[in-house]
Amino acid sequence: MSFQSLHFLLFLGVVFALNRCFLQRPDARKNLLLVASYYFYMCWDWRYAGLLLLMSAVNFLAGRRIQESADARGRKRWLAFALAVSLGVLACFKYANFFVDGAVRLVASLGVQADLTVLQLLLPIGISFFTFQSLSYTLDIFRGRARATGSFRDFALFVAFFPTVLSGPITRARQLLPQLEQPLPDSRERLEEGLVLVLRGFVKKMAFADVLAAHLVNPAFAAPADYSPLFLLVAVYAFTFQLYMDLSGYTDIARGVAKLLGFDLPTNFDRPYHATSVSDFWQRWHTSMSGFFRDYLYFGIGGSKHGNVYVNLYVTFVAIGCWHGAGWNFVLYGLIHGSCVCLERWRRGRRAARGLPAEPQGALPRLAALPRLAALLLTFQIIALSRILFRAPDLGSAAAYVAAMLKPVAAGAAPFTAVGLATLLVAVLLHYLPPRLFEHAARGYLRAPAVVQGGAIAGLALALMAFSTGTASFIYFQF
Amino acid sequence: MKRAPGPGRRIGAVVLWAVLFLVAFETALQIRSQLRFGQSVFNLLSGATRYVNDERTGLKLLRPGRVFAGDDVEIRTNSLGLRSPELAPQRLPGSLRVAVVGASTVMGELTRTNDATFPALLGERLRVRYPQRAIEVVNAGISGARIADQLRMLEEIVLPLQPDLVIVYPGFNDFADYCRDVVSTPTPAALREGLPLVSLPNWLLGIEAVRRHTGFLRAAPGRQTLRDPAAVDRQPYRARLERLVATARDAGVTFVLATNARAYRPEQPLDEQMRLSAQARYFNPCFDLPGLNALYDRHNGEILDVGRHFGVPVLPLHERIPGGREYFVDASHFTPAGEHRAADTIFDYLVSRGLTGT
Repeated sequence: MSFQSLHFLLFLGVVFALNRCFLQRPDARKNLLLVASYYFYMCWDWRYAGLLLLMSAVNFLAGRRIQESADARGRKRWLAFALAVSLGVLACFKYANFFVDGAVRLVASLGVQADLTVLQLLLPIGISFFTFQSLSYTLDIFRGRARATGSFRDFALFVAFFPTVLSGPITRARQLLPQLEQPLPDSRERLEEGLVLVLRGFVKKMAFADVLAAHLVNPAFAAPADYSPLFLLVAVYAFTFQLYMDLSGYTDIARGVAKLLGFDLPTNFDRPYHATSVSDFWQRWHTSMSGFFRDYLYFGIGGSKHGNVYVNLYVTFVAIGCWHGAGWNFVLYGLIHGSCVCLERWRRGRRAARGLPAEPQGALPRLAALPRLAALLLTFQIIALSRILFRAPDLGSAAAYVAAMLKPVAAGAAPFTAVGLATLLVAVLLHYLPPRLFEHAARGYLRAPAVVQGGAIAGLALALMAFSTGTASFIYFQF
Repeated sequence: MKRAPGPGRRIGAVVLWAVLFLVAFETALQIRSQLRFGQSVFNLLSGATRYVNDERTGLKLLRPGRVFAGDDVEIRTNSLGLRSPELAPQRLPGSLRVAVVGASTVMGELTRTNDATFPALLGERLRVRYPQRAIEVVNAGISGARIADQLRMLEEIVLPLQPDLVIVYPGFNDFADYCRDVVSTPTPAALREGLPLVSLPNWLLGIEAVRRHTGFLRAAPGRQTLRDPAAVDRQPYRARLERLVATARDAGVTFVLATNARAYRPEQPLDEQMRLSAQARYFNPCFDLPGLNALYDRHNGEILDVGRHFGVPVLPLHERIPGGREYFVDASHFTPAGEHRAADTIFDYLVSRGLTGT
C-alpha cells in the first residue's frame, strides 16, 4: 500500500476516524494503531510481518534484560544478542545476495560454474529502517539514556508504526514511546499542520521528484552514452533534487500522518543544499539516519575522544554508504564523503592551531558572503557528483556515466524538455527561497474557508494524478 | 450557546468539500461523455451499456440492434452486435461478402458514423467497382479485442456468415500484457505477496481524462523504458496469429492479414512523435518512445513473417498509410482522411491481387 494510493487514503481515513473515537481510551487507541500498522505492512508483503515481530520481540526482550541485569557482563551479553540477531537478519536479507554474487564470480574466475540462485533473497521493504529503529531502543537502554518499556504492545507499535515503518524517519524510542502515554493532543492547529505536511509531501514527491525522474534522470542514467555531457550534468543536478524531494516528501507525509494521529516525528531535513561543507551537509540531510550512525557507531567506536578520529569517521561513512545498499558504488560513496569530512576536520584543526576562524572570511565587508557562496557551490558539486554512485546500479555503470560526461561537449543528444527544466528550476528556487514564504503561504491556506481548502485539495489531487507516473515508488523503499 | 466546531469536524468539512469537488468533476465528465459519445456511467445504471458479454460466443460485443447517439459519434449496431448493417439472410449468386476483423480501429471507436469507418468505405468502393454484384462488408471490429478474441470472432461469428474474403487488422491490444507485471509491481519486491488492495472502478472518467491529456508531464523523449522491447517474448503473439491464420485456412476462406499502421514514426520531429504517441504510451507505460517504435516494428515483422510462412497475403498498411495528424486522431485511430486512405489502400490491394473473386 503506497502513500499515493486510494487504498492508503481510505485506510488513513478509517484509522484517523477511529483514532479520534478513542481519544479517551488510550489502550484501545494503541491496539488500533498496532493492528493498523501491521495491516499496512502486510499490504506490502504479509510474509515479512513475522520479521517485524521477531525484531520487536528480540529488542524488547534484550531491553528488559539489560535493564534488569545487575552486572556489566550480563548487559553486554544481551546487547550482543540483540545486535547479532538484528544486524544478522539485516545482513542476511540485505547483503547475502551481494556476497553470494561475489562468491559466484570468484568461483567462476577459477573456471567453475556455480548455481547459487536458490540463495537469492527478496529484500523486505523497510528492513533498514525498522531494524535501526528497534536497535536504537536497546542501545539507548544499554547506555542508560532510556528505560525499558513494560509493554510489548507499545514497543511493537513503536517498531511497526505505519507512518515510519517503510522509510523512516528513524525515530528513537525515547521520542515516540512517551507520546503513547500522553493524552492525544487535540487542536485544530495540529490537525491542520498535519494536513499541510501531507499535502506538501505529495507535491514534493509527485510534482517534483517523479517529473525530474521522468524527464531528466531516468533517460540519462538508462543510456548515458547517448547523451551530451551537458544533459548528463543537468541530470545529475536533477537527481540531487529528485532525491531530496522524494525522501523529504516521504518524510513530510509520514510526519503529517503521524501528526493527524497525535504524534510528533523528527524533521529529518534542514534545507540540505544550503550546506557550506560536507560535514554541514550531514547535519542537514536525513538527520534521523545520520544521527543514528553518529550516536551509535561513531561515538561507539570512540568518536573524537578515543582512537583515531579519522579512522572513526571513515568507518562511520563507509557504514552509511553500505546502509544504503550492498554494492561497491555505495562503499565508494561512503569513502568519498568520509574523505571530505576528514579533510574538513583536518583543515578546521589547522586553522584553529593558527588562531584563524573555522571558515575563511571575505576580505571586504561587501564581499563577506562570497566565501560562503563559494563553499555552498563547491559542497553542492561534491554532493551532486557523488550521487552518480548513488543512482547508478553498480560501480561499472557509475564509471560509464562519468566517462560519458567527459566526452566532447558536442557529442550526444540533449533532449531537454520545457517541463523537465522548468521543474528543476522551480525545485531549485523553492529550496533556496526563505522558508518564511512557505509558512506565510501555509498560514494563508489554513485561514481560508473549508470550501476553498477542500477545492484546493481536489485541484491538487487532480494535478497529482496528472504528474504521477504510477510506477515510481519512493527511492528509499529499496534501502 | 452555539458550540465551536471541533478540530476533527473542521478537517471532515475540508475533506467533504474536496470529495464534493471531485464528484462534481467526475459528473461533468460523465455528462460530457454521454452527450458526445452516448456512453457514460448512466448507461451502466440504466442497464443499457454499449457493450455486452455474449453468452453464446463468450465475446464482448456491441449491444445488438441499438443506436448509441452522441454529438461526436453515433454507433448503430446490427443484430449480431457489430457496427455493421444487417446482412442479407441468403447470399445472392455472384455476391461478394467481405469481413474485416479487428479491434477499435476497425470498429471506428472515434469515427463519427458507421458509414465513415474504413470497412464501410471499402464497401462503397467495391460497389462502384462491381456495380453488378451485391457487396456486403462486415465490420467485425470490437474495441479492446485481442487476437484471441479475433480468433473467436472468426470462428463464432464471421465464418458462419460464409464470407468470400476475411481481412484481419490485429491492432495493438495484445501489447498491454507486456506492461502488466512491470507497472503493477512496485520496487523492490518483484515477487511481493501483499494483502489485496482497493482500486478505483474502471468506469471513472476523471483519472483517464486527466492522465490522457497530461502524458507530456510524465514522459520525456529520452530512453527510460522499463522493459526492453528486444527482450519481449513475441512467441505467444505469433502463436495466436498462427492459430488465427490456420483457422481461416482450414475453413477455406480467402484471407488477408494487414500490418498495424500507427501515427508516430521515428522520422517525425520528436515533439510530434511524443504528441502522437501519447495514447500508446498511456496504454503501454513500460515502454518509452524508442521502445514503442521498436516494439511495434517487431510485431509488424511477426505479422509479415506469419503471412510468408502460411502463404497468406499481407498488406503492409504501416508502409502505405503515412503517420501524422492528417491520418490519425491519436496513436492508432484514423481521422476521416485516414479512414479513406485505409479504404483506398485495402481496395487497391484487393483489386490488384485479384482477391475480390473476379
